Amino acid sequence: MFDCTLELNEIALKRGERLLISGLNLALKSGDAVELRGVNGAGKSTLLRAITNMHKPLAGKIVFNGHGGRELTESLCFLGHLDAIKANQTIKAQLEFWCDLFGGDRANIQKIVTRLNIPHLLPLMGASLSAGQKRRISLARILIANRPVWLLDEPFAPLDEKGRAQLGEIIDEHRANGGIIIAAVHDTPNCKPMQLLNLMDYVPEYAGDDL
Amino acid sequence: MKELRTFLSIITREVKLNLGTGGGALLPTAFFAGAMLLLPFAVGPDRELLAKIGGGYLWLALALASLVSLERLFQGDIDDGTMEQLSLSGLPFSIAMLGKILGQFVAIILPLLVAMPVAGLMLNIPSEYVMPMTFTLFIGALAMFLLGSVGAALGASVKRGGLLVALLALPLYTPIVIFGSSTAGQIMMGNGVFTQGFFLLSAIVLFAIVLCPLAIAAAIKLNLD
Repeated sequence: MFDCTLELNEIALKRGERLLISGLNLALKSGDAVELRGVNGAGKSTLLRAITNMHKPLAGKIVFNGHGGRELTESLCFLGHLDAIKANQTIKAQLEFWCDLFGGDRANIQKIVTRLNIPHLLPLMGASLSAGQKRRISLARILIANRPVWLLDEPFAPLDEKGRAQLGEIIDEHRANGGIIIAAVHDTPNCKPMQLLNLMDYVPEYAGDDL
Repeated sequence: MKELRTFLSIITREVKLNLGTGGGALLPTAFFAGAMLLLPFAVGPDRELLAKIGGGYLWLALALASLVSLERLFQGDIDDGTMEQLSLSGLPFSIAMLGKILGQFVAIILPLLVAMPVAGLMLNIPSEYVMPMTFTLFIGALAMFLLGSVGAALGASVKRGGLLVALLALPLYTPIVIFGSSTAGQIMMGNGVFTQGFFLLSAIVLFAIVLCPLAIAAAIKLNLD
């Protein structure tokens, strides 16, 4: 079981010269999940990247506690638009690398790939995978890392129907296990209802016409 | 110990990727060997002349060969999202980058270390001086790699930025080539490796191994935003 809290205080985000959102507050504890909504360009990805510390927010503070006092960057998994899969290396070798990098347990890899129905992909090179298969590998990476906070940027997008249902189950399981999830989505995800966060509510008024 | 496992995993991954199919670790070696093969045709097969310019020429060839690999040093990992994941490894980002550079260095230097003694013999460098020469070239290659990767990190945001990377890295190579070829001259005079030029070269390596990862991490972070 994970035990941690994540707080966003008065976050403001800027992309280029445009102020995307301001005054965003969010307090999450173990088991919470947020469905991040907003039109294209509203700042969903930027918000997720701000939490991963890849993007510096214009203002505001992100506070993380718990998980044995570890830093937030050491406690989160990020699933972005890029799958980080190398074309010229086998999937097995790549998953083993992610496992070592994120301090996971190699013994779990087999169990996780079986769960995701991808054991047959292990001996293949990254170049021969489809977008949906790559997404499943990325999900395996997240499960292998075994960290409490999941930041998912349109995780359902390239998956088939079965994959979506399965991801829904995995998300529910992670919440039951004390994880925190923030997921940017466009359709209603196949999982237990999440807390809704619409970024359009935080768009500064004078910028409203731009969007 | 968890940090060590993470750090070693970054190094081994780089070595495997670079020595694997399409990794391109042999490119600098091929360039280096090509430069050696062409020299006798360019200046004539005069053995005495070759021995005289050989030491300096080895350094020149090494400098140019190490430029070849720089462009792709960070580009691939930025483009496919690996860099984003590396930033979440739990290690300080500069240490993760140091692991990446060291891994690439190992992959690229291993084949070069085989080529260097052969090249030394081809240039008619006396056989007892070949190993000391290779040793200084090894230290010099590390210095070039560390300083050059700062240029590679700065140029990584530019597609096909090879020219930019070369322009950024070459001025940084100047002191390395100066001290390196002065060491080569001392070796040829029979004064051994441990002369002033070599100590200054080693100082550059120590300086670079501390400061370059910080600069690289900062430059790559700009890219991730």
